[in-house]
Amino acid sequence: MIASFWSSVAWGDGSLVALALIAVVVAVMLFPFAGRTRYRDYRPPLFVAGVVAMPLFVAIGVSLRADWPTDVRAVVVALLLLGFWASAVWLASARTQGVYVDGLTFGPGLQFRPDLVLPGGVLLVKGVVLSGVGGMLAFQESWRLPAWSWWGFVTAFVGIVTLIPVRGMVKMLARRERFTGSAPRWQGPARWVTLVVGLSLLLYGFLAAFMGRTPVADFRPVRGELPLATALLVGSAVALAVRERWKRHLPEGSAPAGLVVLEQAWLYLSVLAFMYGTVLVFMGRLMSPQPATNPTGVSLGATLLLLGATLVVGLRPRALRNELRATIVVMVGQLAAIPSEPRQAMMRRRMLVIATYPLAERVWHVGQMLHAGAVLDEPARQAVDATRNEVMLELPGTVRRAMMEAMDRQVSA
Amino acid sequence: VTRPVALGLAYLGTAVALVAWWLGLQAAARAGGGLTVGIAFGVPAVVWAVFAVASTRGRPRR
Repeated sequence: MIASFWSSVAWGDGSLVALALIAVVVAVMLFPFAGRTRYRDYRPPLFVAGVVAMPLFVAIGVSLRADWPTDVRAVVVALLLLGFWASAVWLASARTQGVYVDGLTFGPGLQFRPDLVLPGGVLLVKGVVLSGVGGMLAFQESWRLPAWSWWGFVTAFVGIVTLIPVRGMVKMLARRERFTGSAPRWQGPARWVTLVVGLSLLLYGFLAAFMGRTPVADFRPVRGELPLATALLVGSAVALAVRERWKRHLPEGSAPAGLVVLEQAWLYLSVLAFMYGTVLVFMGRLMSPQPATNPTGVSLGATLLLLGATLVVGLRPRALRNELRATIVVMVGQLAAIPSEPRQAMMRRRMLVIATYPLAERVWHVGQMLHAGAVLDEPARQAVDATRNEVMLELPGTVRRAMMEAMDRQVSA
Repeated sequence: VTRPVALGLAYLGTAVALVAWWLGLQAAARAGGGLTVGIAFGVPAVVWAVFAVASTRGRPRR
């Protein structure tokens, strides 16, 4: 039995490396760092469900390599991809994020809160993967399922880590700075670099994985369409950089829903162009859907592309808004937990920042701060209320009037 | 048990569980597609249920 176990473990194919990487991420995200008593308050059931569904990648890989008739494999993989999509859909719910819990602080103003960054990241990654698989199925001359390479997945996983936790941390750090007074110059470039580097690794890795190739060893650029590929890669990277600059002018939190959807559509279309550029680099020839010879692949591919678009354009705006709301809830909770003096200083900086916002954005942020205070327990709420009143009295007249106006609007709304 | 040790144990436990899951999927892949789908969704559902139940223990009543 032991011999059959060892023989079934294919050390060289990268599957155990992939499992180890997934295990690290799952274990760290679900570990009860702040104890078990209030576990659900900082790791809500929907968040846990999203994390335990992450290893679906493993099931998809195993099924793509299984020795079944093609139609059975197609049905199994389609069902798994549907689960892959659904496990991203519920992350757009506001119940994915928890409230402030003591014991998760790992730096000044920073908490280990994957629930504040995971949903937006997962919706982007899964949207890109589903759209990519859709394109791959539609571009084939005849209907067949993709192959699978574990080393390709390992490479893509590095891209996933760059796009979700690393980019999430960059966003959290930038948000902390923005909320307390400074808009750091590095925030746009840092978000752009993590996006482009993460996307490149993700797309290269999954392209190798779904073509059954080993990255670097037998999956390299092919001459043929390099000028067009370069134009697409550079053009889409520039489009993403322009988007970062444009975002600076959007009011945070109170931006109209249409503009937020437009911003995500801009992201999605740029990513599709980047994806096509990557495909051209490694395939070396133009690819287009083949409805005449591959109707099954084209219809399935179009469905997957649509599912991917629903995640990025349809649901991600909602998830990002929920992340922002929950960040404010956690920030106010943290404010209540720190000693009186730094609490006053932080509250003052926060009010000075909010007072500079345009009215609609100011009203939104004041409303979120009030809501965040209302969900605290009684002593914490009293501490925050008292500090707010003390700070309000000391603020310069213009700032106080701006805050009072926002509070009045919020109360009357 | 100190926190780093507990985290290490959690990581090892998750790794062992994932390898067991992967071996189960490999075995199911030889048996049939339905079983693979069952294991693929069933195991995460059970893990989630265990977390949901375990996290209510010791929880103060509201």
